[in-house]
Amino acid sequence: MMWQNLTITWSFVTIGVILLSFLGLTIWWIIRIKQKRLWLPTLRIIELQESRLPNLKFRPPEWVAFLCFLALCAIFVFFSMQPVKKVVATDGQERRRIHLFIDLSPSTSARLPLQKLAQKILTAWDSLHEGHLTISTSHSSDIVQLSNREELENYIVSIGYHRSGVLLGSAIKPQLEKLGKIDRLFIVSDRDLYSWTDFNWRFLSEDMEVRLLNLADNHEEDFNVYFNKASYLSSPDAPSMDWDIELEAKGAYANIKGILAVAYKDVELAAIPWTINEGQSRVTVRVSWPKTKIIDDSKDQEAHLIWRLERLDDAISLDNEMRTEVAGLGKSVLVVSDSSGEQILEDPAYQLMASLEVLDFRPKRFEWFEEPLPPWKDFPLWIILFGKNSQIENYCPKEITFNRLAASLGEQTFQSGMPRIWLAPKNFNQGLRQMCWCYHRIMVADSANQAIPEYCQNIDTQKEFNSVMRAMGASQVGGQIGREEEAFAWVGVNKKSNLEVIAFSLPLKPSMQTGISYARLPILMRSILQWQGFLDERARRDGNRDVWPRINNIVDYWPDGQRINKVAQNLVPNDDKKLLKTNVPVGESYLLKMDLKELPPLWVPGQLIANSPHLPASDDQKNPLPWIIFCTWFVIVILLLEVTWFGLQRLRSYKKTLLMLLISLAAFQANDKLFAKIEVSLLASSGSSLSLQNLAKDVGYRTSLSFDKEIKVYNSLDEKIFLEPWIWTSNFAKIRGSFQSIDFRVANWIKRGGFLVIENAPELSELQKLTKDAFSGTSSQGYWTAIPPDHEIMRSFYLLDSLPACDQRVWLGYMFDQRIAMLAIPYSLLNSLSDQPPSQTCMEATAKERGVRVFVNLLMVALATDYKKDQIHMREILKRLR
Amino acid sequence: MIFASNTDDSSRKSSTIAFLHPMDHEEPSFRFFKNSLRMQGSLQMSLRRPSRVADFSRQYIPGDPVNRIDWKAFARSDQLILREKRDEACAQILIFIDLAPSMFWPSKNHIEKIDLPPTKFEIAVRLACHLAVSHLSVGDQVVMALSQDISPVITHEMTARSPGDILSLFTHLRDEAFSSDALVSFFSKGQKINKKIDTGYLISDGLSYPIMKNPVICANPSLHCFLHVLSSLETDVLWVADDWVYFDEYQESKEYFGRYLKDQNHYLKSLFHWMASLRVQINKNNGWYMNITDQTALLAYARFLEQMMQGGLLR
Repeated sequence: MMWQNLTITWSFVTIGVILLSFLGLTIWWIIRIKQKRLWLPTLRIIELQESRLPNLKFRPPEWVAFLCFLALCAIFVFFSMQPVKKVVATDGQERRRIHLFIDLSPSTSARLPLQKLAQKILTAWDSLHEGHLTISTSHSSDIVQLSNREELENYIVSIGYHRSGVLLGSAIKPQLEKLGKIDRLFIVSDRDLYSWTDFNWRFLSEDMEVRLLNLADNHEEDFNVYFNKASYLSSPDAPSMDWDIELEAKGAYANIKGILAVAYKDVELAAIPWTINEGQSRVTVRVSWPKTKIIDDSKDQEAHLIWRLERLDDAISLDNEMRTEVAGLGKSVLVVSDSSGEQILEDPAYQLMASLEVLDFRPKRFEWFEEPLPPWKDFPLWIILFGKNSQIENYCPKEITFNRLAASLGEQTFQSGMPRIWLAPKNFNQGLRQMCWCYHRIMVADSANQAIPEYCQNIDTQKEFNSVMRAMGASQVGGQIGREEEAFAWVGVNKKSNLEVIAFSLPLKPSMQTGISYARLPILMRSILQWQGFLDERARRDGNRDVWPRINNIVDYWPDGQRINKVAQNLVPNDDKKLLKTNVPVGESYLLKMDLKELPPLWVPGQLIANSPHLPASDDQKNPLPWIIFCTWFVIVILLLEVTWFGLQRLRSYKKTLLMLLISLAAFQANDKLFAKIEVSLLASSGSSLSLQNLAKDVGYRTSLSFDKEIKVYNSLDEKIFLEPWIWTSNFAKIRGSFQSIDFRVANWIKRGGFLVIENAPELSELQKLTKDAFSGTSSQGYWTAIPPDHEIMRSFYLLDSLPACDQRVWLGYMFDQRIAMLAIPYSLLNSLSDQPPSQTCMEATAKERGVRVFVNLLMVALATDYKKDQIHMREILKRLR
Repeated sequence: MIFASNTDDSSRKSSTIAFLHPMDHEEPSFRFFKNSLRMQGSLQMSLRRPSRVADFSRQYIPGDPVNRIDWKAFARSDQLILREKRDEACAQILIFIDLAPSMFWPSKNHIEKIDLPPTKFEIAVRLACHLAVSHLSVGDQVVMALSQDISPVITHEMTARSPGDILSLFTHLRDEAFSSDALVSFFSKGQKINKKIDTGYLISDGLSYPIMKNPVICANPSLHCFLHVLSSLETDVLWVADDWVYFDEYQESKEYFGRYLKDQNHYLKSLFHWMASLRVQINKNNGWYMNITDQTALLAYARFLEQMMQGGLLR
């Protein structure tokens, strides 16, 4: 990039970046001038409170990062600028990439025959062909490069004008994308407002020189007549076909006269003269011809009515012809039903066909199917009526099944497309069995030759038919959801083969039994046909079907051509049928002109290009985006590195804490038993086992304390047992040491705060002997006593009246150190509360509930002693009581 | 050389500590040593010997020699009084010099001032040499120790043999502009004082760590003395410029404008408060405390030592 060629604009980003960089530098400098600083060691000890310096201090910047910062600021400033003003460059050889776009839309054709257009373009060619010249048209996205004048002329004449409209912006954009870099774009077009709408050519002029070769200079005082509206009026049963055609005129005119002629398959149906007087903008012409004039064999799908404005010399001749579909012919329907009699009432298909005719269909009746079947595309709808004795082979053609199976497997089908098929019984509850079989053959069976399935054999009534149809996966039509007996019909769809079958459970004829009256049958038929898409209800209602399609923008129909053809003859316009059939869009016919000021500068062929002012410099713009993205990533990486580095330095100072945290986390992860629980430590002889599952549940449920159902059993007084907070024992001998006194280790443990529960306790005298010497030397003398009614055991959780006595013996407590240190229970409380309580315990007399309550109280005392003495909550309790 | 002191003597007053020489014996304190009837050293032995020329008397305890009972006193007061004399012995003296970076303040590296006072390190060395010579000359055993870190750990030590050694050390240091390297070169690396210390001198500015963690105090001598060495620039802030910023190298948040330090004697109040608290701490531990700057008069220093000898050493 040449520096002198770069003129920059100051965007907000640029200014922001520059300001921020200056701010950073200023702050750095401000801090730097604060360096008149002196070390005074005694400040370390001295405590001065106020008026410290603000937290500004000089720190020599990290030089690499700082230089990166400066470099990045510069880069951001530089790349956030954009070159906006082109420097005039001389016309060198490198400026010869020229593209010629030719607009072949209907408006361009105004008074300009194709030969004249070709001549104009040839003149332009003469001025341009020395450079690297490429040509494209609005016909397709293809771009051609031609070698001589003849090729160009042939090319233009061969492709001609198209009937579709074109929007220049959307047409030129994909072509420029294909072309890549070009220096000049010449647009050969008229000033048509419609074509130039939404084309921001000024955007292109930043990259290239855009010029217009104007074709519409001599037709300022012209007029144009075109078809505005066509409506088919006749009802299906009318003997003639009536159309209302609305013609509209634009431009300057006095009285316009002409003849509107309509033809079908080269046969003229009618020719009506018309006049548009001065001051009148439109006229409606009524055109009628007898229906018999159109002989429709339904085979030529491409046949259309062609309307022409004859004897008219207006600007655009392309829009003087209009194609419409042939309305009023109706679609063919195949009705297959044998006749039960010659009388109207005897024939079940008569009323059905009458209804179809009313609905503008042309029903054709077969008695039964015969080989070969009629072409499917001729009959989009088949209605097959089944009687009591209908032979399935005659009424259910196997070809449908073959076609479905072939389409499902992705193989070649017999005939393209699939008709919609209706299966209906002739009479109520008749032919349902055959219908079921036929539905099975068409939609379900793996082979067309399968016999009647078992579930179809027993169908006699509509109800049975409905349930079987549902079982075969058909969807219900009519009736309430989930109530199959109310179903009016069943529909099955095979998406792969596009096959749709409706099986009616009621006969499609007026009947008192089914409630379908003569009046309701056509309405019913119309609803179903409409639902299946055979009737365009809105078009019928408005009487103005869109019978004349117009393509507003030809670009929508461009094939995605990616080639640049060297030979013009290879380039024929896309002959898509839609493009040929289309009518000229109204926008193209309006003759509205764009103001010259809004268009690119005009160019007259022959004018020397070298004289053109203000050609853009060729290589003066580079997209800064990749660089900005690169710089952004660079900044992010630097930031991440810096954050990581400082983060690691910070973390180093917390090394010890982090290590401890990690170890404790690891310990926490490794050990899932780090939660508090309560368990019973039982000192017992070996072999004793107790299960407290129920008790644990009870305790957990009542107190939300996690009480372990397993008991920790110790067989002797080893060291570990003295780490327990409480010990239960029913083996008195185990805690007794020498001289009938308590084992000194147990005594010491109690003095340290242990709580001993003696079950099956001996007499009081024995207990007194036990504690006589062991606790005598201590400051607080202990004593045995019966548990008083106001003791904490009686009220720690539940309020108990008394403790269950056993054999006239009561519960005794050894009061020591202002607490209950030992508890002597006359029977085994744990045994009585275990999952399998022994048969003979004192608790038998009392309820188990009482035992649990006592245990809970005991647990509370063991855990928290007399916590109710703690009066810290007294204020709250009193407040609540008040 | 880690730090170098300013040895420009022109700005100093000859009667101040800045001029203290190891052989300076103007102070009268050591007359006590000469005049006393000690056997050797400055330490009073814990074993007391009954004597007719007694230092003090006490109540008779069964087992004491009967012939040392002051019968006259018994006749007078009906009390059995025993006369005793305490012997003296050679004392183990530890002189500790703190070599923390703050001890080398002020230097040209820190303050661009023409007439800088001597660094705290120089004062400390002068004091240490003087004390060592004093004690060696009365027969005590002197160990000198250094701490180069800002943590309370002894890194170097040296056993002083004679006053001559100290004198040569001092002379060398003075020639080397009181550099720390020159001092350290006389010492050997060591971290433990194996001997029982009777008297410990701690010469430091007390800034590196809490003074009670000092190895001298932790060695639990029977007597210790903290010579709190500060620069005269630290005890007076009249020299401070108003618009300059004064900071502490180890605590980044401590930064003050000079005008604030001077305003309402903020700085001096805090400084004296700190020194008073140090004094209280030392005294509580039965130690002696003296604040010394380069402006401290030699006479004041001598008087302090005299008091300490009377009240402590030869108690």
